[in-house]
Amino acid sequence: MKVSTIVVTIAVIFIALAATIYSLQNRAPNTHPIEFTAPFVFGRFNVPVDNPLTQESVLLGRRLFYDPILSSNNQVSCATCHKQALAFTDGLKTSIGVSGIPLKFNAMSLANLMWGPRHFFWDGRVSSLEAQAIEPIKHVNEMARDLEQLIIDLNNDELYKKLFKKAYGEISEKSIAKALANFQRTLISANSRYDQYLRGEISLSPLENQGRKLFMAHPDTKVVLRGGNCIDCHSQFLTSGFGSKFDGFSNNGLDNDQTLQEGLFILTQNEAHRGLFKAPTLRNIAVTAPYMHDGRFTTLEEVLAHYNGGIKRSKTLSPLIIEADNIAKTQLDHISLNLNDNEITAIIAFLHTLTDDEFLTNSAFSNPFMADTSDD
Amino acid sequence: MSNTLLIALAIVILSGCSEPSKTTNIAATDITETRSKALIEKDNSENSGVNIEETQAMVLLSGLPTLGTTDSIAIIELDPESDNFGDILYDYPLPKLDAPMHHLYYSPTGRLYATGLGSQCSLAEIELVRNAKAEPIINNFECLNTNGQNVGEDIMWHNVNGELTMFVTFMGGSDLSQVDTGTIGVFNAQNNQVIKIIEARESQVEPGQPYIKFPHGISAYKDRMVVTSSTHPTIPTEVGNTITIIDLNTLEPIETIVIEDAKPVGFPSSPVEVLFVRPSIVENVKPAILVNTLFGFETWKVPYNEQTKTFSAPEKLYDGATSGTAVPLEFYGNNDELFISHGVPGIVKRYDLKQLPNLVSSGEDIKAESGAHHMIFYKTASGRKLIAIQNNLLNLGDAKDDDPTDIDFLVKLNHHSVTVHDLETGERLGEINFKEKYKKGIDNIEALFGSGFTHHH
Amino acid sequence: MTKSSNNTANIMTVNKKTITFAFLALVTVLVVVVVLLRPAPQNITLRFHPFVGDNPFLLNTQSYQNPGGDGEFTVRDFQLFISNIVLSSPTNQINEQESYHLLRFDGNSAFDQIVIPQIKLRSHNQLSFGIGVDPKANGSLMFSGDLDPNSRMAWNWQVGYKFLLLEGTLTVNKQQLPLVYHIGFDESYTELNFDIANKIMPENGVINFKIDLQRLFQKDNSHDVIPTQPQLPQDIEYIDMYKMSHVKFSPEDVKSIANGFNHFITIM
Repeated sequence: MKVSTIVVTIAVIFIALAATIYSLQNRAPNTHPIEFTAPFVFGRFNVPVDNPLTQESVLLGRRLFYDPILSSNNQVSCATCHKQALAFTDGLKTSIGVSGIPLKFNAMSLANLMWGPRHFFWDGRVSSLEAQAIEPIKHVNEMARDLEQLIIDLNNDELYKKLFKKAYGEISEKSIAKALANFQRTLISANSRYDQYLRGEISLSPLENQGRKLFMAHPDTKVVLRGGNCIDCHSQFLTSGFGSKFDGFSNNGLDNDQTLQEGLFILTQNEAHRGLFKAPTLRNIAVTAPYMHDGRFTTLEEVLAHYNGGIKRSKTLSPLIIEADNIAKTQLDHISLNLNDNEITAIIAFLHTLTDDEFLTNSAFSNPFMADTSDD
Repeated sequence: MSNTLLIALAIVILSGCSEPSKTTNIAATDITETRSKALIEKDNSENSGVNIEETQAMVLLSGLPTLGTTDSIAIIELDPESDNFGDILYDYPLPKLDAPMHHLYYSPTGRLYATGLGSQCSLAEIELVRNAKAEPIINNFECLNTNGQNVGEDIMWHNVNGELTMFVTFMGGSDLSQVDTGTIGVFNAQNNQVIKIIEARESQVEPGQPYIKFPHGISAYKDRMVVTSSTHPTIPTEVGNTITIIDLNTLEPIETIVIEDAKPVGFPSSPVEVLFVRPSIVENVKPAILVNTLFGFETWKVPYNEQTKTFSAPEKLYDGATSGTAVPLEFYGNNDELFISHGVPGIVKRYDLKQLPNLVSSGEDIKAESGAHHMIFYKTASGRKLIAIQNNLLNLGDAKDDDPTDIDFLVKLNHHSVTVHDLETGERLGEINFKEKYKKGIDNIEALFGSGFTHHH
Repeated sequence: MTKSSNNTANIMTVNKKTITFAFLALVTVLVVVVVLLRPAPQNITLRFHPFVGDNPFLLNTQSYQNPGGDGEFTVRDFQLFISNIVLSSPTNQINEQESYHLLRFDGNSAFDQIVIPQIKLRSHNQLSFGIGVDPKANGSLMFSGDLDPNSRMAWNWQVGYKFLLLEGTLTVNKQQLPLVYHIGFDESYTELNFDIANKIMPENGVINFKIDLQRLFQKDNSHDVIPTQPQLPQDIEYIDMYKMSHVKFSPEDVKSIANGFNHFITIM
């Protein structure tokens, strides 16, 4: 064999090897899209182009969500404050993290997060699920985790190394955030009795149906239309706040000017936004007590009583709330929907139709550490 | 059978006589390329990157056993300016049934239904959802219990005593072997349960009492509903010539009105589609029923006196036999115009909506193809206003040929195509021939999001 | 040809060159002319400047005189749908696709605008659009443009969309009254036509519109027996917000505010 042939052959092999190594190192992980369906009436949704919904990312995100490795004392996971059985809330007035100091806010339910407001947390301070996911990990009272140390710890875990590699190629703050965001995107609640009603699978009881109509109506005494005024802040199908800009935030009369909290003001620095909080989804509302951003009401009856006479006036209070009244206004100092007891019962009955048992027990959303023994 | 031949002959003659379609390119509209909606300076890109679903339509397709295709519901692209024009974006195979599904309808609450021309599935609900890529797909197709009614035709929703109620005409009624069969199914619009089957067979009612035969078209205004008596689905010699009024307070037929004079093909007139012209369609209009007669080739008007709740004598507004058209079929209206499709020679006539219930032309006929039938209205990616017309009467071929789209007299009325036209000028911008392209016949077309305001019933 | 070919070869060559050059020159000139004359694609911007009478409109912070009565009002939210934009010339018509735009005035800018990109302008002299949502879209659950059945502008599927939303507070004698105007219904859909010849700013393709909230509350005088000449400003009568502080589902009240749709948008 000629020398030149050998040289050429070696060169070819070398180039091929280099190319293979290069492509192996730079190849995007071989991922698989997840599959699901969502009601047509929820509308279109967008997933960030740099974080497609893959099986690998959701698998990883679910594990991270339930893993206390995300906290400094290795005792608090996302699921500590977001329990599936409670529609990913914790039943507490306000949540408690590693510091033991009660937080400012009630844990928000996690459902249908691809629709509705594009601003997360009660005060809307971040604008993506990815950005949201990192905040509690870093927060000194929540999980108080040093992210650099977390990445080191995850790198020391062979399973995580494998899962990250498959989903994103590497372990980083970004990929942690992306994985958590994608798991949360899959938390779709669309099989409550209300959904079944919308699909025509069941009929609501007369009381529930009366409640549905009241929910969907802003009262107008001029045309004898009675209403619970819920629709002014909670959309008809999603029952969440509205998606566009800050339309999903409202001052619903919890405080007067003296006690008014910052709310959306913290993000926008706009005085008109002081005391405005996110209108949450009402999906599974019957299991997510206590209510409001500070968990001040323990029952739905208390919530309805608030709208039916408990409203406190402040300078950013929604005019829709002041104006909404089922009795022609005779005086202005007392704000109330003036619903009768039967109507309140009906609205609460309708709110119970938003409970989605399938969502609350769906094994795809459950703790993978508990399921490890049986599932895998 | 001789009657069928007669019709065939008449159709051949008429279509032969009808003028060759003049192509009038009135100042061909300059299509200026405009890109999607203005998002450039909007900070929030929540709707960016989504495809344009407004130009997409749902079609019911019939499989051709000889060519190895099966029935399906498809979502197709109908923007003639798009590279994907005519493409099937999504195809949902239907179960094997004894007859094709015939008509798609959206309920006022956004639920999707279809009628079917057989006995196995004369009425169905279709569940539309979005998949993980946010694309519309069909999740479920469920045949509904109709208490044994055959051959579903039209559906309409109407408030009866404050309750949204679904009405379905069943041309085949509860017993296809009867010469005067035919029923109207009254359903709970929420749970699809049968509330009542309205039946009034001519042979069973007292002479002179109102009756209903082979109901097809349906329309309503307040507490009065009208249905037509068209043709027996399986016995070709049995043809109706009446419309029947139903009192919605009692759900009982109260009056049968003959809609017929000349018989251009020697057959009874066979009223097919009806439209109760009412104030919600035209402001301050004096209500009246418009009736198309399949074999009379005419359009009739039956004035209604709202105060006395009485109907006056029918007046013939349009005579196809003298105007060179036959087989008038559907009424569709938009904000400004009423459109009537004529299967022969395959045109859509257009009328000023404000002049209803009289038919005052609002422009030249839109030249489609033989069998012009259902239609939808939409806008293209560049925003041009369009009409898409389904040119196909029925895919009910005889079993011998094993080709449901290809039978005897229907040949002239089955072009298997959808033609797309500029709504303003009528200019044809595109054509999809489903038989050539997909080896399937087309039965119905509906916009992906329903026709909303379109006055159809 | 074959006979003379030798004799004429030189001349032909010269001629060929000359012709080629002349031809190229001509083509160049033509191309230049065509390119110069052909309208370059340009964005058309419909820019809406909100006013109350002659005063620029500001949310929350600024108060304005009740158009038809005592007191002053402030506005917390003001949004409206502009639909079905059509630009036309005698030979040419452009309908914008998915043409449902929600104008809102809660941003940092003094105006809101709709950009219709890449229009090849050729003497467009007519512009039309609707205020509200056309009945077809209003009766469907379609997601198109800014239409979203889960949005604040949606009532519920039976009623359709609010075409215009105006919420705020009226202060009369230190008494505060909430103002809620949710104007919808198919009948309220109003198509407006504008003559835009010479109204498009050549350098940036902007057409400036004034939205005058005061004119929204203009009373309907169409029932007057004598068709009046263009009304003088002092002759216009306005609705008293105190007497009509909230309009939602009462058809009569909706009609009286929707009448203002015909008057409150003008080209500046």
